[in-house]
Amino acid sequence: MSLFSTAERAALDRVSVPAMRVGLAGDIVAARTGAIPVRRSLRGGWRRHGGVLLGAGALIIASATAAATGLLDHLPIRIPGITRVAEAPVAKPRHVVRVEKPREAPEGSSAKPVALAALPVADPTPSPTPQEQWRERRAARIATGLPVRRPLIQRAMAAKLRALPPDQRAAAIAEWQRIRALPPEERKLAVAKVKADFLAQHPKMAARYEARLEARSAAAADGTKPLVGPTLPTAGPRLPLTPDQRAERRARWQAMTGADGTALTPDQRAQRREEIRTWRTERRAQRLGNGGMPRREGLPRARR
Amino acid sequence: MLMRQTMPARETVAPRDSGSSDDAVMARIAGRDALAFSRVVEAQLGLLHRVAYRMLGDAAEAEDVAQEALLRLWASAERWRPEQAGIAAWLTRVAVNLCLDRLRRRRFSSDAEVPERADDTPGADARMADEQLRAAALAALGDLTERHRAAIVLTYYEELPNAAAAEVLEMKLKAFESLLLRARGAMRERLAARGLTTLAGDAA
Repeated sequence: MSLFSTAERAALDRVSVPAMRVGLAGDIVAARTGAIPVRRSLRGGWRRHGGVLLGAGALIIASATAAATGLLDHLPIRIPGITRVAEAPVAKPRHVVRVEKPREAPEGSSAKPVALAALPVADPTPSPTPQEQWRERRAARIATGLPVRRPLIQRAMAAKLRALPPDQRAAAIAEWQRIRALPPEERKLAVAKVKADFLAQHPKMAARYEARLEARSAAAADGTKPLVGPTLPTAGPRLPLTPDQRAERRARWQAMTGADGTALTPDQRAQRREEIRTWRTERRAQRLGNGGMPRREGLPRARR
Repeated sequence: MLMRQTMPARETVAPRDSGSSDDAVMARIAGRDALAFSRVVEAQLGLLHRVAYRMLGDAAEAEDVAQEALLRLWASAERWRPEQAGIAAWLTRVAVNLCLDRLRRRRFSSDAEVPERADDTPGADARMADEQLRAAALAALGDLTERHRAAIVLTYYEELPNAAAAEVLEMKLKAFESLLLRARGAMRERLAARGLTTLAGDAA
């Protein structure tokens, strides 16, 4: 069933298909049943006859060479240019390398044995993978307050926007312009609210988001992939922490993830992952409850 | 009056009850029966050519794609699984995938040429106007993304049911219906942008 109007159907029906080449069906059948070779390209010009031309050229060169060197019927025809090229090249003489034996130093000489320079040892430190390098660059941009480039995400969002009906697209653009015009703090609140609403309406995406966070925390707990860059979703650049806050966070993180050197069993690892997940959820709720700003000791709550 | 250049769906997509006949035909082709293969070629070549032309916009490439799809059918006849999708659906899926592969390497290039030379013969103005409209419609189809275009070609031009078209594109039915809804909206916009219709769907 088509939902196009009469005029739209009339416009679409104008896309007529030109007739096929006569005999195409027969060529296809004959190609597969062995009668004629498959013509892969139906374009004209030199491409179509390229094989024939190359074969003819090779034949001409071969016959000229044969005639020049007298291979055919021992004909003593020699064409200087081709003969010189076509004659078998003289074998190269074997290159013999003379190795001189080291002369023994005479007794009593003051010559000291030459110490060979030590071979350069490859740096055992593994070079960072491209993903780690990308994370480092991203963290550096966030730390300096520069906007983070997200070309793939931007392209995907632009494609989604183009795919919306005109009225919905205009509404989305108007909403985006309204949020962009807000002051920075209110903009963070609005963006966090939009994100929370979106995740609430899309449970599958919320589950994938949670799984991503869980995978990151599990990787951090295993100690195999050190975290570089922010691991928590932020609505903007991170605010600087005091040294005491940084030490407290590190101690809390190590206590949760077992980064103090103890080996974890799989059950313990799963339990820690669950604790981290609960902690992240509570922390996100706390931050949203504080107006999207991290709670600071001694600072008043953000007013709404 | 231009009629849609399509065949009824029943003649293009093998219905479920002819699955056994498709299996028998493929068994004969696997035994290198040229007659069976020629019948399949005659029955399906038109469909493949139409789909490929509307996907790619180039007649020569459309013939290449149709030929390649049929050659792949011959090559993979021995690996045909009984009771799977019919021959027409299989060929359509292969042709659409070949078109999508080619489109990923290049943009949609329409070979519709608009005549620019003045022609004094009677009816030349009308013919030129028709050619311009045809070129504009083809260009509007080419403005769509590849998957939107595939959805429109399969459902509107080839009149495949949504389930069959979803199977061709290897999508779930719900996902395909969502894709089709967006494709129709995009097609409507492109037709209006090219001046063929208005945003309300009326003739421009």
